[in-house]
Amino acid sequence: MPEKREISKRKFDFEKIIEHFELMRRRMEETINKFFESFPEPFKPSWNCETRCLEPLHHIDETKGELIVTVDLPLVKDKSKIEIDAVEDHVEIMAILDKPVKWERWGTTQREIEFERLHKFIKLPERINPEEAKAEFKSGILTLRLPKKLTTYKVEITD
Amino acid sequence: MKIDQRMPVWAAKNIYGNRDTKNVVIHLHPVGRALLAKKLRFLLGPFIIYLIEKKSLGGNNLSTEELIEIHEIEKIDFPEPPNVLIGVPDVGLVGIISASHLVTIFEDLREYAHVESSLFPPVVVVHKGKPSPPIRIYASTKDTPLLLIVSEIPIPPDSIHELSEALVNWLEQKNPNYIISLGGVGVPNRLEIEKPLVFAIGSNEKAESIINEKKIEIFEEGMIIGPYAALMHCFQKRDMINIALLAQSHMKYPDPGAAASILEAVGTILDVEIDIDALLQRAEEIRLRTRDLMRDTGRTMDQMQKEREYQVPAFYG
Repeated sequence: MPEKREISKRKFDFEKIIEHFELMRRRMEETINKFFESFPEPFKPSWNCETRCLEPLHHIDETKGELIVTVDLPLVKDKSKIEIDAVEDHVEIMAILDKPVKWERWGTTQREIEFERLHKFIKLPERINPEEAKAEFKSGILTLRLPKKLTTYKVEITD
Repeated sequence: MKIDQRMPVWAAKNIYGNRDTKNVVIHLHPVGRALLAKKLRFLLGPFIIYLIEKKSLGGNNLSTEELIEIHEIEKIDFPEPPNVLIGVPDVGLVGIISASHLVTIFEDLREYAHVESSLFPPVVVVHKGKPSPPIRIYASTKDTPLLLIVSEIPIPPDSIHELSEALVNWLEQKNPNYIISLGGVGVPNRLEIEKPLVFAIGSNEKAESIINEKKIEIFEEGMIIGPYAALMHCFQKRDMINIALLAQSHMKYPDPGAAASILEAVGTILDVEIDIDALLQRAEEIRLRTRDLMRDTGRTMDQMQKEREYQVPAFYG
């Protein structure tokens, strides 16, 4: 009997250790993620010669229940020229420019290229519900309202 | 070697070794800046400060004139006191868009002086095949003399005080008439505003009376952060007439509409006609062209906690 009890105790301890390791792993992951988020975005050009796309400016605001993403889309005539793909953790925006843009005096290789579209891939800081996403296009600025995927429970005060 | 206050010394040594690096000012690497800006500063901050104190040779003790040089390309004698306009990248790029438009429409505005400093990143901008430093001063002597101070790069936050001091010292010698800062103030509901309003802040009583006389709305309460704030402070100390014009603007998107409102206000103050039609017609193209500068300026504004301009000042009465 004592032997059996010892085995079960050992098993119990082992599970505790695994649990602790799991907790540690999660904490480390969170810390590492926070550490890398604090780095500035690496520099990359705001244009792509191969796809003939320019990258528009964007901004993410956050409220309790939704993420509000705005994207500056100059030279885009109306909403029919914009395509938005929303997934739980990102949105992708493609918009066709009213007329192709070419800057003859700018750069060395860029001057040869006509840019036809604006394209932006935005990684979202939180998971969203893409089915309930809403968009509005006004004065050349696209506003996306993306409800966060979260469940809220009301906590009752018993005493 | 002059070491930026927040510069880890080991990085300085890696870059410069044992060479004679007199007058070299080293800026903190973006990664280091991010580390210091975030929570990790508690971990690394004391260590870095210890190293700097131990190794730096007395810190940065150069005078403003030694740090920032304003190099005049030609000698101009102004027949009467010039008016001065200042347009640097800030909220909605209002300043630089307005300044750029003025250079386009006033053909007699020509490059007059360059602002050079080791505090600025090593950048040369090339226009029509001609390289020039990104912070420049244009001048026009036709009719009423005008000086236009322009920057094509966001002013590095670490250099704002020195640059303001140097510009004010230099301007004082030119005996200017009005000094007008062309800026914007971020409004969250900009999309609902068709024609942005312009607000003004005056550095002294004379400036305030001009604002009232020209019927420009006074910026009653609030905060301004960044280059225009530092300049206003310097002008106020010397009792020079500085009017900071702030148009309602997008905070982080280029706003040619706000720039047009600012230019209208400048026209009212200086009694000159400024054609803004071309600016409004090219508004969308300007928004597209200035994306990169806006992105860089946005990062600089984050470093200065520019969004605190939305706050209400605590002092009440």
